[in-house]
Amino acid sequence: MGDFFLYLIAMATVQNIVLSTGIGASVMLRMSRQPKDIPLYCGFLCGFSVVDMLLVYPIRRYLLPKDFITNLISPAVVVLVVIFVYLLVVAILKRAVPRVLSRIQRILSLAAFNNVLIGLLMITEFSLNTSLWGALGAAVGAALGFFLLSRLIDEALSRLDNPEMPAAFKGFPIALLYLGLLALAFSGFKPAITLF
Amino acid sequence: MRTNWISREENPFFASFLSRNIVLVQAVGICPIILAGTTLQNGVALTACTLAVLLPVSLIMSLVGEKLSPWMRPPLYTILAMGLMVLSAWVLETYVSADLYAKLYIFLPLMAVNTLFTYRAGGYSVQHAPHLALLDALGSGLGFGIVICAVSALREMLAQGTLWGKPVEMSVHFSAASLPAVGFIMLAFMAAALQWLKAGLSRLADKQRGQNHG
Amino acid sequence: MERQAPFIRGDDRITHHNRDLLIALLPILVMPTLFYGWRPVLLVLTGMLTAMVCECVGCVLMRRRISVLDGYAAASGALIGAMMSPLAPMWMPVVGAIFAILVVKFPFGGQGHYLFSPAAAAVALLTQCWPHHMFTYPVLHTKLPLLWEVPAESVITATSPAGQLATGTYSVYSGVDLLTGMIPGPIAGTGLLVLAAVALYLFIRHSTFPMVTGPYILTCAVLAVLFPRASGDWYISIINELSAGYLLFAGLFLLNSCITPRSRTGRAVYGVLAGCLVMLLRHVGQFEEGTCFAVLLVNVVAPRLDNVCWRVRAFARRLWERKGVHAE
Repeated sequence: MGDFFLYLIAMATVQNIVLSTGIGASVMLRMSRQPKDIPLYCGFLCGFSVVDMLLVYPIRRYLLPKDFITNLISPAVVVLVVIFVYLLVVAILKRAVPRVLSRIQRILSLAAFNNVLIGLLMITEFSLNTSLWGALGAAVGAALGFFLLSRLIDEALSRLDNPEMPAAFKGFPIALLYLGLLALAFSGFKPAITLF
Repeated sequence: MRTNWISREENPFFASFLSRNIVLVQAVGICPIILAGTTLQNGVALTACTLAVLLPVSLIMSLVGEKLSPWMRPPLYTILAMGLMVLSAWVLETYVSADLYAKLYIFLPLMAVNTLFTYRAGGYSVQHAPHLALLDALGSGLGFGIVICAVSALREMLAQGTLWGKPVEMSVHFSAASLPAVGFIMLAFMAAALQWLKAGLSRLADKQRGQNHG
Repeated sequence: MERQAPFIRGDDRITHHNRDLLIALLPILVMPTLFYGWRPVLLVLTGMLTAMVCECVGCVLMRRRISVLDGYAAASGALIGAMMSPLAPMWMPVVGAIFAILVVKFPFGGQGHYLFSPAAAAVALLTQCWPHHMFTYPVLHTKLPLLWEVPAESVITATSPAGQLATGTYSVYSGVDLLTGMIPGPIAGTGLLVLAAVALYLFIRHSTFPMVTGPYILTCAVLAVLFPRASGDWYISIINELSAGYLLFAGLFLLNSCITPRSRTGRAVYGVLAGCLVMLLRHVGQFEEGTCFAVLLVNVVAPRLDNVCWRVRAFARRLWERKGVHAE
């Protein structure tokens, strides 16, 4: 259980997945143009991460032997599990609340198929080598970290709109520069967990 | 509604490659540049694999994507991309360089779920005719490639003092160039340079248009 | 063109503030000059001049009036030079100053618009890139040559109090040495007494905010007592932690900038947060001195602090008024 909180706090703060690896940076910067979608996206991301991790972890640790072919096809196994969970969720929502599904379908698919989720599922096995609790903590922490960072970006972008800024930096370049300096700020911490 | 024609101003290849560069303007495909774009060999390998996957997947999504419900498209392009990426990884390992594959083996699967496929194969390609989808995929792949190769080359020279594994004379040695923070900052300046260039060209074009009318 | 709100009131105040910072650096440079010769002064001047040149370049590129005489660039460059080791190569403050002005300051819009302290960001980058050069200090009373780069084998090095704390032992230097600055360390890591005098000067001149520095130092001291890094008496932990690295220097020079919150409560919270982050980085940071990273992290939350503190106070006031009404 201690692993759960260690990985949760590490992934949410000092080893934020976007700042320490760049995974999810594109989605974050594009979604910063529509900030009202972010809480829903992060909620779905957290849900999918936890459910997918609960399935992927035992499959990859106990069912797949470790050799070349397995390492090559195991990402495909991860994606198959992600697709299975997504289709299950869509089937349930289609039956229960079809009108809600049509409104949230874009966010739902973005949350289910993105490199934060699938990257996390893959590095949990390749690099983290932790218990299931640790893996679940990483899953929740990554989603929480994505949400916290998106709030910071949103706050910063609202303050970065000033007439003195050079035109060349307005918009996307300054958001990238802000992310870079934020990543520099967090790089002072000793990595609690090794992502890569 | 699908778009079948190209207007002169909106050539999708040119748009994704340069004027609305897929990375520097549309903010797509940043992750592999930050994470794996630390040597030129990595950059070229990832570009080749991306093109090898993005072109067929975009074509297929353009042909069949519109016929599917919106919620069915993501699983399709994801499984297609993953399958083709696994094949590309096997080709890389078997026929190109086992060392390079060993360095990239975790990044290649991550490429398959990149935003390049979400927004281009799953977005643009579905809404446009196959020839436009292919042009866009080629432009996106090459646009991504030019950025990742530029950033990777610079980071390799600064951090390791080599280019393509061969030593180069560098008066500046900047070991932290392989940090994600420096990757973000490099991309920021490249994006700003492109924005500045576009603004300059646009002013020049307006000036010439004004002169022609005058 | 109407300017967005910087936190400093007028251009004359910027010049006065920066002039005071530069004057306050002079006594800080006395001890390092006595110990090591003119090299520390040259490092500070190199940083200062590079920053001023970069400021001119930036103003030309942005087609603005050259504002180098407001003293901001000079102050930033001097601060970067002051946080180097006396042994650091001359190109380090140059690289730091270029990064601070052309990457951290100008792209955000210049004075009053940047979101991160340029000097802290520059030192953070230099620390990440060249930790060996940042944290290698010569023994006291070594006359250092005024070379571009001092050969490593020509100088005997010593561990600073920060380096010793990082290994879990207290500094071998006496309390008197720590108070008077007779310790190896960065140029700005001078004695507590000198820094106290400088602090008094800056407070009197209103060029730094006691509501930031006071809570910051108090938080560092309290955390040093609660979480000592070596075994010993509580006051030994306080003196060691406060005199290690450039903790106090950062509290005076880096935390007081145009990013600092405007309200008194906001400033106090800002100082407390900075203290917590500095001490946290000393325990779980990669480097023996991570104060610059802590300053960058606290810069991230600074813009919200005024708002948050105002909301908390408004809520507490409403609660109090409601209690008063019920009592009646």
